[in-house]
Amino acid sequence: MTDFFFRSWAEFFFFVLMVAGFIIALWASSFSVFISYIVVFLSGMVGGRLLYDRKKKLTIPYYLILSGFLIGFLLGTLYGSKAVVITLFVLGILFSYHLYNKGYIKDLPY
Amino acid sequence: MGEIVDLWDKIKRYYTFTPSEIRGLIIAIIVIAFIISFSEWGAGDAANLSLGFFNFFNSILIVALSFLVHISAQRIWSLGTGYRLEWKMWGFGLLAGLIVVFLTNGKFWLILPGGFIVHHLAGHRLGWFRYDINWWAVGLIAVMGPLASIIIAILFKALSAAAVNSLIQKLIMFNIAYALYSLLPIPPLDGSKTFYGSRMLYAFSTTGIVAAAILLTLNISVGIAVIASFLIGIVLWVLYYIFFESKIWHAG
Repeated sequence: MTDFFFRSWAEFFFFVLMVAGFIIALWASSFSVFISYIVVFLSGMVGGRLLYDRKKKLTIPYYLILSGFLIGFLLGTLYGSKAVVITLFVLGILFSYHLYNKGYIKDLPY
Repeated sequence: MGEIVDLWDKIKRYYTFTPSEIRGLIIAIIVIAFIISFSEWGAGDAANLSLGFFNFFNSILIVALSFLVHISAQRIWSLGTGYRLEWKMWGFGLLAGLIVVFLTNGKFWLILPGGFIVHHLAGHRLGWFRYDINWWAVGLIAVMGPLASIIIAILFKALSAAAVNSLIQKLIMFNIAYALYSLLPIPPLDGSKTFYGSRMLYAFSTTGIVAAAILLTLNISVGIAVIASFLIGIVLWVLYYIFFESKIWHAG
């Protein structure tokens, strides 16, 4: 079991976040399309913060995990445009990454 | 008397917030104020912007006062023990709070604004351990924040007996929620520092503050709530020692 997590943690979290993204998208869709768009943008911002934290370290597994979340979110988005969801997620990542990278925001990662 | 003069001097020298702290605090205050005023932007499905902004502004005042008291208590205590505290916002916590408030339509507040780091003032720790940062001291500094929040809630609860006001009620509820969230042992929240500083201190502070939070929301006298929560804290603290901590100590 330990060996599995040691070797395949990225795939494991890819799956976990895909399920989480699916549930969150279904939940957000139950209110309105607009809420789905806001939630996916905010989730992108979380992803941007995560990628900034890994700036000079290994990032490929994190791209995989974030894409898992996006796939789950797209599967759970019943109403609204999938293209807008993808665009807002990427914009959220870029916006958040830029804020941290330029030093406009400084925070504690944990 | 000398200690008070010394503390006053340290407050004058080191209390000031840095520009980075002020920026983080402004962002955290705006986000948390938005979270706690989310469901007050109109009645039913109809949005009312003027009412919404009025409630949002009130929430900013509540959150700013609560943060100032919470962080100031920690800051002054840290200066008293020869450390300088630097508050930092927690981006993940604020974003999680925003996502949750949208998903629950404002019914659930997730208040995770940030945490602190301490800088060692070796010159101000003469006569004490002064070769590194001390976990116990950091744990004590951390617990001062939730304690200050719950004291604010107690004071305003006592005041609300004389003047009933929805703003005061919201301030009480916010401070209770803020104290409880701060106690969570998740880095970088205050609870994590208290937990790693001293499990016994964490057991006492958490049980006492949780008891106070529950009793303050009930319709009983504030004095009884304070005394009862203190006694509950002591009883659960002793029980924790007997059933858990003593076994760990003796096992070592």
